[in-house]
Amino acid sequence: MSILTARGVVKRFGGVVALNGAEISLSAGRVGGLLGANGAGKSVLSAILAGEITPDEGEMSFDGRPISHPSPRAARDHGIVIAHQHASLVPDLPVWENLFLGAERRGWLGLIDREGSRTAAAETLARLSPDFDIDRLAGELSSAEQQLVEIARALLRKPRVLILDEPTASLAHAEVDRLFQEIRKLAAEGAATVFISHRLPEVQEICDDVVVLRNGQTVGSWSIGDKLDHDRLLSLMTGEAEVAAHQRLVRDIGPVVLETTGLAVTPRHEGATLTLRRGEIVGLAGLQGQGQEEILEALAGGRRIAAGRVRVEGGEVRPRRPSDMIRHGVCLVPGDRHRQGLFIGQSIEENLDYPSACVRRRPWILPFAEIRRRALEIIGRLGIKTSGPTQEVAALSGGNQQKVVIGKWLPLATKVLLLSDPAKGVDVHAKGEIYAAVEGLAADGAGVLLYASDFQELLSMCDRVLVVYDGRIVGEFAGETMTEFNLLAASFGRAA
Amino acid sequence: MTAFLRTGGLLLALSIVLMVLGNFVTPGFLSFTQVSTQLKISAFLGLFALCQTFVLIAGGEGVDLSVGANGSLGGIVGAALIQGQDSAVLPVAILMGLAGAAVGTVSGLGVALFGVPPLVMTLAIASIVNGGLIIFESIAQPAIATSPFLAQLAGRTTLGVPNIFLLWIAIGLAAVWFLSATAWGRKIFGTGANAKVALLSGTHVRMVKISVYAISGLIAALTGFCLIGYVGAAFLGLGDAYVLSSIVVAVIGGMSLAGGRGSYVGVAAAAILITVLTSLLTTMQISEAGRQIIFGCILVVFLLLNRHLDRAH
Amino acid sequence: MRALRHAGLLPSLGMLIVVFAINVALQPHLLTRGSLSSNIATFAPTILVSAAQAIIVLSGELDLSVGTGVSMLNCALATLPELVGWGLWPTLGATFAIAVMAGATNGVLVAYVRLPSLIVTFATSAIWFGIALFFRPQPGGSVDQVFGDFYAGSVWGVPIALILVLVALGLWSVLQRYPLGRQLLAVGGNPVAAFHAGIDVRWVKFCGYCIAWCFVYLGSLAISAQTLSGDSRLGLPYTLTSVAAVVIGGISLAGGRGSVWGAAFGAIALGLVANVIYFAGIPSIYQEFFKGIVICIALSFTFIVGRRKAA
Repeated sequence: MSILTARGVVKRFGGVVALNGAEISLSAGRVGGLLGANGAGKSVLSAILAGEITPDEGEMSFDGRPISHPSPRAARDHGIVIAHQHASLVPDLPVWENLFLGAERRGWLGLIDREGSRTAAAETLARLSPDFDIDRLAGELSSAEQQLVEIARALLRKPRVLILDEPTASLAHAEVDRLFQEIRKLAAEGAATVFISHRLPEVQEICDDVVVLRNGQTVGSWSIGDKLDHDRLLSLMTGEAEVAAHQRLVRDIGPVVLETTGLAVTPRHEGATLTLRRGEIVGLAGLQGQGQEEILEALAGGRRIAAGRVRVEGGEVRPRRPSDMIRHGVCLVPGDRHRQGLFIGQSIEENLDYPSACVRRRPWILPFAEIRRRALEIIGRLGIKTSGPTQEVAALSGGNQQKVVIGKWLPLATKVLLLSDPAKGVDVHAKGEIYAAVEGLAADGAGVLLYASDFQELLSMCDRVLVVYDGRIVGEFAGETMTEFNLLAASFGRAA
Repeated sequence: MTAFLRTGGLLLALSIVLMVLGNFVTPGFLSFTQVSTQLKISAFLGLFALCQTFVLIAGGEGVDLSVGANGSLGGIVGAALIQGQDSAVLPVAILMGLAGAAVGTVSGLGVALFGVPPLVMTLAIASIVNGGLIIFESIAQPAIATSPFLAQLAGRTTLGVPNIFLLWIAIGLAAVWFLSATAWGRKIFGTGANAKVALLSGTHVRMVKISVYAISGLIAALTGFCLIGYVGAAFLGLGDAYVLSSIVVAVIGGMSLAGGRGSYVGVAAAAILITVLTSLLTTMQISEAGRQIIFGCILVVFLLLNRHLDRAH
Repeated sequence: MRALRHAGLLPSLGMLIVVFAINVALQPHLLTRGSLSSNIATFAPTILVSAAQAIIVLSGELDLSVGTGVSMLNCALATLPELVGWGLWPTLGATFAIAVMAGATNGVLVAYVRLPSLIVTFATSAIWFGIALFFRPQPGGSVDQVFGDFYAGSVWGVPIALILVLVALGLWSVLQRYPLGRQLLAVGGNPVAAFHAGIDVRWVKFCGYCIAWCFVYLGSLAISAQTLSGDSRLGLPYTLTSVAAVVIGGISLAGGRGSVWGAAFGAIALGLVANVIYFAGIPSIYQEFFKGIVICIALSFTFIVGRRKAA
């Protein structure tokens, strides 16, 4: 029996079409998985269902009656509640107040019922994570703790429709189990749940149905039987029968260009020790959040080093700030392109030239002709689809934006290129072009150190893969031993 | 670029419309002396707004509430040092510029190194500078007269155009060139657009932020120094009137309070527009009460229009 | 203690105690009832206007028109009786209505039309100044003597001014036990989170301005009861002083963090600094300078403490 249905949903942001006729139907007592590649429209659709965004077109009906809810409060009055991917909390209020924000429990004379609120808060959070201190300020919590608070807040609203957007990204195994227990309880009470995730094993475990989005449209929805058909899923998500195999270039491996000894960003870590040669592509693997990104940031001078040494071509260096390392030819392509990679409001040309402008000693005047020439060269080399170098990067697709992020370092990464999950949220074609460009750089003689959350990417690109756990290198694989199985095993090797 | 020319062009067109209107309301509004005066006043307002422009572009909710105090510093100490002599003008000007830059650097240090919100930091610095000037005036009883050269600069015209207006245009063009065609200018925009990206790309974000406050202080002090040529003598509170109006001019001229965007061209046009508007209201024989209310209402209308234009973008 | 630390009150309270101690050292008879009463009566307007600014800043905005607002209300109080022949109570009522309308105007422009508060309150400050001048082109007019006597008096030994301040701040504390009070903080702390939580952010910010202007109204009453006449220039210093008091009080200009009591402490501290300068025999010309120094000292406390917390 359907509780919430949405049909023909269209949403545009400026020139970009985020949803183009998406549809979803949620039934009482069932858990529906909402799947799709990054940028497919999952978050936009959930935001519409939760009343945070109004769609340009489309109909929604609740319990069989048509509705439209232009605000989160209206959606909540219907019992539709969302727990966001990135917790939406007020940092200077304590956890228990955040849990009841906007739905405060009132007592005598309309005053806030502090005792009742705190009791209910403690009780609900305990179901997800025992011994949670509800008086701590939300701003002091770790991202995993914030995620738990975000979920607890949704649960407290006694939802009839619960939307969970990537709830398990930062959670530990035990917490995920408890969360699933709560979801099953809700289902038993007749609520519907939407579970957005990239983690197929979890989708397999908790979901009854799946809906797949691609490019803003629903391309498939069915009930899962005993086994989730991965191939069918992947081909629907990518729209291709098979992902083309990546052709490897033959490269000359040269002398050692980068070495670290016991590199650590916090004092308690043992530190990472690795070497990188010119022309080599070395991958960093492991579970998310084990320190891979921190190692790259530290090497680039963007994060303080607590212990350990770094040597570039035999000479010791102290990466104190990014400009130091850039001058040594060591450059970082950061993981979050919107917040750390691009000036969204500026043109492609301006973005591409910026780091060079910072490092350039002379002339102080910008050489416009040279900048234009270089921009066109990079656009051609990386295959950036654009109307011209003066186009604003905001208008580009995710994949092309990522190419700009990489492109600006091409003239400067003469010795080492560090990449932090460069193909995240990029469509398959652009991914191939990006990796071809990275390989080209390696073939030109730079050493490449690459972190990717997708093991397949690492296996297809790298000469060697290092597995990182808790900031240390716990395994090194190359050639025949470089298999997904080995990598996974090493990732979990020391885990509980 | 064209968008900003459009804003600037629009504002200039409005100014001309107002001037013509003014002539209907008060004949003589379009007279040579009147227009001349307008141009001189807008030059000073425009220069103070240039200070705000630098600070606003660098982002981080940058504003400089100490432009008035720096202006007064340049005027009062400048007058005290030149003692009415032309020969001293050039060295004293350089000295005042350095003094203004020093004050600005202190503000910049507070903002960049200690993370003090610019609103608060520049407010505190303004208090200290103004306070210091009060003490200076009463203890040192300094000379307050202007020099003939400064009076020429601020008061006279060359080929019919006021000298100070020409100076303003020169400085304005230099500023526009600096911001758009030099690496440092690019870094200022980058810092304002996204300080994290700028940092990771190798920008010394702290240096950039300190530099814009230093530049603001320098320009403000020099402008105050020239201002005594226009008003004839130095006095306390010389620059006070310009503090908030310089910010208003910058915002109406298209500067974003968030930083990273905007062009001085629009700001300059806004300076002219606001000056014409204020003069028009003054000559219209309305009581001060009416003038204030009308000014406030028109400002609100401008802000509404600005927002509307922004949305359409 | 934890609550105090959370509200960031420790630095401002500390400052207040230090300045108070210096004041007592220089002016031993400060600790007499008469002296304390007259001090509170003098500080009350600043405390109330600073509290108003604090409320708006906590909600994530700013109001640069509170100073000219005080002028406008003061001139209305002093002029309405002779202008329309009203007695004390109708005048008080009408002035309150003007205050609420001013707050509502700012509230609509900032919260609903979404104009930047820094600039738009600068614009409305010109409008309030104009209205003040309309009432009183020249200083003059008169406020009922009864009112002045009442303000200078005391109930059971407690000065009326003190009662006024405590009642006002007390009402704020009561409001903090209601959803609206907490939502004001939420809206300043993380407006997106507040929106996701179902709070009507615009309505809350609008209410913030209206409530704040009730405090501005009380502040204008306090100053009018002392001057007993109207002057359009009267309120001008209050704007920047209120911002300074908010900063000294440890309230973050970004919003969401701090307490209105902090602004009250800050206002008192600023007032006591003026006393200190006077009683130390420092010429009053130094006052502006020292006010700036005090703000810098307070700033360094707040930010050093803040950095240590963040580290």
